[in-house]
Amino acid sequence: MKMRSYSGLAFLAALFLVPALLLQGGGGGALLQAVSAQDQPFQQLESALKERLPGAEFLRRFQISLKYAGGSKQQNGVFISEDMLMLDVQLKSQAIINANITKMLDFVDQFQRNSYVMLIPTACAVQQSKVPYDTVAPLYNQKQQLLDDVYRRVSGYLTPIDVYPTLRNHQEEYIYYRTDNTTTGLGGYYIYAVAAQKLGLKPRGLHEFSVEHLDYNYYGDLYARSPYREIPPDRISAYSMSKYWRYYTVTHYENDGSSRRYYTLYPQFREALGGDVKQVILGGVSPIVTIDVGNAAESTRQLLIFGDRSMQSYLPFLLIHYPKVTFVDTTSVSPSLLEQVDVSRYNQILFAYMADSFIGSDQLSILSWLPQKQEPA
Amino acid sequence: MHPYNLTFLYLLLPVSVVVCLLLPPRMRAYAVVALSAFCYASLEGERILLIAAVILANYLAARLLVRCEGAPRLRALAAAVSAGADLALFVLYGVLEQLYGLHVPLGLGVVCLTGAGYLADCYYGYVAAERSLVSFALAVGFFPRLYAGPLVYYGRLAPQLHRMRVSLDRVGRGGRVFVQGLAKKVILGDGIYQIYARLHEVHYYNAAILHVWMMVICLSLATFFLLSGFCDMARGLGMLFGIDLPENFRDPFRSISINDFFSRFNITVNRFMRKYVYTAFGTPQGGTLSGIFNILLLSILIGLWYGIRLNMVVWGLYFSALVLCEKFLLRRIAETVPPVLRWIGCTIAVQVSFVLFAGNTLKQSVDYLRVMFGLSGADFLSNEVLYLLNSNYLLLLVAIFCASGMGRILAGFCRRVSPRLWELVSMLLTLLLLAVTTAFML
Repeated sequence: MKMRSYSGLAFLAALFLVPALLLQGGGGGALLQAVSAQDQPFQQLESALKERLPGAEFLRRFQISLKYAGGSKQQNGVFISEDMLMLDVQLKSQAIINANITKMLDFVDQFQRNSYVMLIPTACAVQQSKVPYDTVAPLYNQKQQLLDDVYRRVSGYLTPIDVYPTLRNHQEEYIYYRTDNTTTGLGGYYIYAVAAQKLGLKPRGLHEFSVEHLDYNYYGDLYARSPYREIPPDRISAYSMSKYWRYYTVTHYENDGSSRRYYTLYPQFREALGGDVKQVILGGVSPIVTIDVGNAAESTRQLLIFGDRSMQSYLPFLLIHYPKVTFVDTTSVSPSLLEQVDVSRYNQILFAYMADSFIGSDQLSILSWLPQKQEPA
Repeated sequence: MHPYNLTFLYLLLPVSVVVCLLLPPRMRAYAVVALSAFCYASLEGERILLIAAVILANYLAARLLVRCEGAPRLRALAAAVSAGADLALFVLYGVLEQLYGLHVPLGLGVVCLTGAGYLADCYYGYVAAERSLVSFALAVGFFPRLYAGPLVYYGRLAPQLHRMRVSLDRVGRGGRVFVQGLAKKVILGDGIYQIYARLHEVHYYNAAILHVWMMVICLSLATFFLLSGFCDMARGLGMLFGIDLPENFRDPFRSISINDFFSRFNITVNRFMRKYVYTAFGTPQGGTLSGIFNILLLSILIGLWYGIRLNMVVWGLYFSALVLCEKFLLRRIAETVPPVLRWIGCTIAVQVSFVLFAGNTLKQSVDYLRVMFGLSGADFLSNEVLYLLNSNYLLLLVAIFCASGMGRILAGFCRRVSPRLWELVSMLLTLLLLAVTTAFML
């Protein structure tokens, strides 16, 4: 047999090896199921094959590593730096920002409450030196194009809380998760320190809070989104005021009308029940979360926050100043649930979003469902 | 189902090859036609009926030409109407695509032009009308050829169709060519096209000079790797199933003149046009004016092959001007210029031509040209370009190496030095490339 015939045999063997291993691994059933689907059977077969292909995970990692070695340090919209992942935040549409600003101004006009706006820059804006090829990377300038612009346009109606300089001053510290697009507990403290001053409160020192590390092996949303795997896991920490004991009642309201209640800020059994460790911080994020604080508040002021999941980082600190705080997740709250929020009961309103949330989607149209007629405060 | 799908590669292909190996030669055409029809229908659904109708119409028209041997006028009319219908269908779909965004069925151009060429050959008596509908359908509608050719005239395929030779030796060679084509398409073509797409997103008035140059170079590389990738896949699959298809690209970026470029880039399309247009209109026997006219016509038609739009007409005119310059003005000067300088000149001229592919309109292409040659006051360099160069340096280096033809030279050298060792190394490299390409298909 000629050498070229051996080449033919080797090629055929390579082609047959894959289906043979697939059948041996029990993937045949999944492929048959995909091909018998009513809707687009060939696409489903292709997807099933991609999932079940022998060595698929190894090959995927190999591909990503090859691309990374070839200089590609931004994959699937995520920057891959030496020790962390960072979301590449780019402006999609100025109209979205305009709409969010307009809704905030409408809100202030309608409810006449003391209102504040706080946009939290993402890691790539604060820790720019960690962005791959940072001197030439086409970054969206969050400070100038978003934060300064928004704060300027709402000036006189809402009080801006600019946390950028503080975060930038502490950029060498562990203020952003390596694998999650949000701030850590420490980052949350620095945000709190700035916000508290603007909200008329006296911020407490970091030494006044005790810290408990809940997990050293956390992988967040960026890790799930980026195909790159060689990033160390994150540490999740829980901060509590250590000086005076407080009683917390944390109530989560879901859109289906159900609710659940915890009497601690960190219900650790949540993780034991199968949720990830971030579900432990304030019991997770729900459409509406109310937190009643007993035996602590310096004032009778009540705070209403419209925001996103970034509240998990700074809210545990802010809570020590208020007897009651309500958080509304505008990305998930339903109109019927929102109708139950009585804005007039709150002295201060805080709009607090990560920069990518604020520029990425219309966050505040839902506010038009707030009850129009309010009782006097 | 595309030939670059995992389903095709690891489920359909091995089964089809083994079936072809086991079937007697005269039955193989049926199996390959069935495979082609299955793949086509899985992609285009009921549009397969249009392709089938075109193939059947051409087959019947050729049979009609045989029947009309004794009636020359009727025969000429039948040939003209049938071939004209093929061309009209191709043009009609192209125009409707431009005007209304109509989806053009995959491979309609290849089928229509091959059919029209076949009818012309039958009419002039260069080939005998095919008796077997299956053989004819295979020649015209061989599935992997429908993406980008090679555009082969029927006379070249006809002798192979009745005795399709399949052997392990051919499987080895075909597998190698197929995997090379797959890698060109999946790794290099798609990868470089992504860089081009990102550069193309930036409006020309925000683009730096190097930005537009890089965009154009990426487009030329992506076009080359995608087209030659598809053609190599078709050639490789052809070998696996017992059909020899000609090479369509032979290191076009090594060209040292425009004529040289056309003899290396999309070779079969250029040959096809030359055979049915250039030669048919009397050149090279005709006079100078006739020659100029035919060069113009040929270049414009080759341009229109890539898309029926104004930019492609201008692309044809641009190359006509260059060919005429070479032919009448620069012939003697060129002989005295060192090949390196001729290569640089040719490469710049070719790269500039891709501005017409990049621009959605003629105005946009002109705007790009103004930036490229520093007439718009644009910066020389931008961060975007540096970032993309940093982020894709390995891909770009590999692409430039492959496009330069150095790989082919190196392989040829190794083959000459130690043929048996080269066969072994080549087999191992093919398997490695298959694994890497599979990783990029996930």
